[in-house]
Amino acid sequence: MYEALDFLKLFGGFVYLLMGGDLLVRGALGLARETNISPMVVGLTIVAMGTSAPELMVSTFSALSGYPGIAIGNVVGSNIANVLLVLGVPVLIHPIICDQEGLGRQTGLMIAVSVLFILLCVFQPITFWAGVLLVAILVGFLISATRGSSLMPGLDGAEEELERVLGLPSSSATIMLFIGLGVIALPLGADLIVEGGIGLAGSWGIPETVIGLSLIALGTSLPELSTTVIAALHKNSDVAIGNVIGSNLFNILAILGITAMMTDLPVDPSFLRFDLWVMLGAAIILWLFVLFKAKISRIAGSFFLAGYLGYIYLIF
Amino acid sequence: MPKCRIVSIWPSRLDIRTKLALVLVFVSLISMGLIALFAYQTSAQLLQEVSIRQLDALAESKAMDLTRVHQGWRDKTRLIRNGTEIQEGLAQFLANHGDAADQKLTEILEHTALSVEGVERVTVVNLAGQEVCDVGEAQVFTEIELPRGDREIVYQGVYLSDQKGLLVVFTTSLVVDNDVVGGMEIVFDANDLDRVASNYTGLGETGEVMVVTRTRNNKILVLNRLRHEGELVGPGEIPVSQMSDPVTRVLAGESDVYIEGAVDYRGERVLAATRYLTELGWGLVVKLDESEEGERATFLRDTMFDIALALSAFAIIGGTLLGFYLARPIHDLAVLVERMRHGEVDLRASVEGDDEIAYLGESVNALVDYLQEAQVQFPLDNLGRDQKHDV
Repeated sequence: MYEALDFLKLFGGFVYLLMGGDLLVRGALGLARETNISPMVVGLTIVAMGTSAPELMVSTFSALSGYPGIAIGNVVGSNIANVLLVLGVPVLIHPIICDQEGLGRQTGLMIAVSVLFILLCVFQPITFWAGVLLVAILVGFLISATRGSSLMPGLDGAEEELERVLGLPSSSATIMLFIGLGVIALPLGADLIVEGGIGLAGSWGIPETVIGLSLIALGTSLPELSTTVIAALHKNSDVAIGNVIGSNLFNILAILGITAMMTDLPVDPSFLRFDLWVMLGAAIILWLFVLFKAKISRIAGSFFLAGYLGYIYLIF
Repeated sequence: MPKCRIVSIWPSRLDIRTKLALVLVFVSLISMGLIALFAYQTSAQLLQEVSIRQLDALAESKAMDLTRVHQGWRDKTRLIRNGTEIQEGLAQFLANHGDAADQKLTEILEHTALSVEGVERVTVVNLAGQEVCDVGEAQVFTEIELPRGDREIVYQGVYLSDQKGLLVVFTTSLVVDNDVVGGMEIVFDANDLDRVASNYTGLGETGEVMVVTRTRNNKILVLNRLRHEGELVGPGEIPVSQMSDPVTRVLAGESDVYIEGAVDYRGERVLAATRYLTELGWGLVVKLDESEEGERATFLRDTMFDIALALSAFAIIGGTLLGFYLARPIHDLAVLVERMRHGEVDLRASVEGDDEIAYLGESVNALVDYLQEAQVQFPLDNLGRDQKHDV
């Protein structure tokens, strides 16, 4: 009975997070358009932070509630799921050729940031100043992006995409309603997810880190998965790589950084024994594909997917 | 004419599907919120009723336990009184009045006091009420009143002793060869009473049992140790003015249930159930802090809120899907008109169903057909010239 309730909470939490994130981003974009803010600034601030708001909310909520394992597990698990699942599933539909311009440098950055993350975990806890460092790196990347160095993939065209699909609010009242609903829905969803996750961990007798690495990470990666699957159905899988790299960079730099700025994050030793290395390994595999401008074929996608399922099996 | 299923662009204003979905989600959430509120109110009320019934049942159970304890003291008193050795020893003592008989009676009483659990003192008096012999250390400074009947056992009261704590006193007559030859006072410790009162099973974290009686100097004596030490450690005397409403009223002989308005000796608001034990003149109060009861209600409220919130996810998904489904034809029609405005004049609306939207689609198609035919018959240039001519 309680397990069913916890699953229900998780499900409801993800729905609220998705709805809240969508409303917040569309409301903020509507506001930006009405106030004539530059699309570049909008892309680098509202879209970037708004689309990461669900993950950020879950991580900060769990860390502040005394469950840092969920916060770190969410970041590590999301990064693993992004490479192995979010790339693995769409290539089963339509293969990806890793020959886009600038992809090598972006993947290299992802590996560098992942190594930095591992180092911070070694010298745990991840403190306020470590959080400042991560956010400072993020700000540096965003500034360099404004100069056209294209270090932060996944942001270009997000505004147009949202506007194209469902439009943006234009009246002040609707804009405020969207932002208000988003601001209310996000913490509600995060609270439900953390409660559900903790409840399930208790029922199953497993550490909350495992729930963070698996169910919660999977849930927060579902929007990326659906986007890439839809793109693959339109035979446009190539955008998936940019989304994955951008999402992984944001997970570490923004979500972990901001969460660490709010409260110190002690790192469970189990992360250093296994999960962080899986995350780094997945990033390196992706980098190898990019380095050789290889095609991520259906067979490779099957291996990615099998790798993810195997990883989930091992942590349970 | 090609019929098109419109799936493309609509410009930047907010999509009608989003608006309708938002309205449906909002209405669903309001409905769920009202249902959750109603469910919470009903459940909270039921929860309080259950708590009150539980308290009442506990009070009844404790009252029965205390009656059994009382009966136990009576049984022990009867056992001691009916002992052949005591009767014979007393008979010898009355017949001989010597040191040996006195010694013998003392030994018998000591043996009795040791063999019966909970006995603190046994005193034997003659018919004049003068003390003949006694064993034990407990000091009870009262005059021993002999029972009137030859078989009667009388509960005399409870007393606080500095050394022994609370003591319970019974008296009975002593009979030898069917003649009442004296009496006996037996003092018991109150451990059995304390054991009953200190059992907090079913009373949560703050629930408590108070057994009280009124003293001769019009104070209230709490007969058991209390759970909330430091504020009032029983047993002890308390002025009536400091006592709570349930205590004073139960000592007036009322057995009742207090759902609200009761405040205990700590100033805490409590739910309480009381019983008056007529035979002993004791009042029994079983109580539970309202705050703990409130915690249960808060837990219930939070749980129901979480469930309602989680279930509302279905309302959100359902509302969104329904909104998109219902508004899709209007959206498609609007996109169609927009595309026609941009030159795709061969497009026609897909007419499905028999509602107003289908009628609107048909009308749009008819209007476009008419305009196209009109343009063929009256080319735009001629029309323009004619208009100019008219002007």
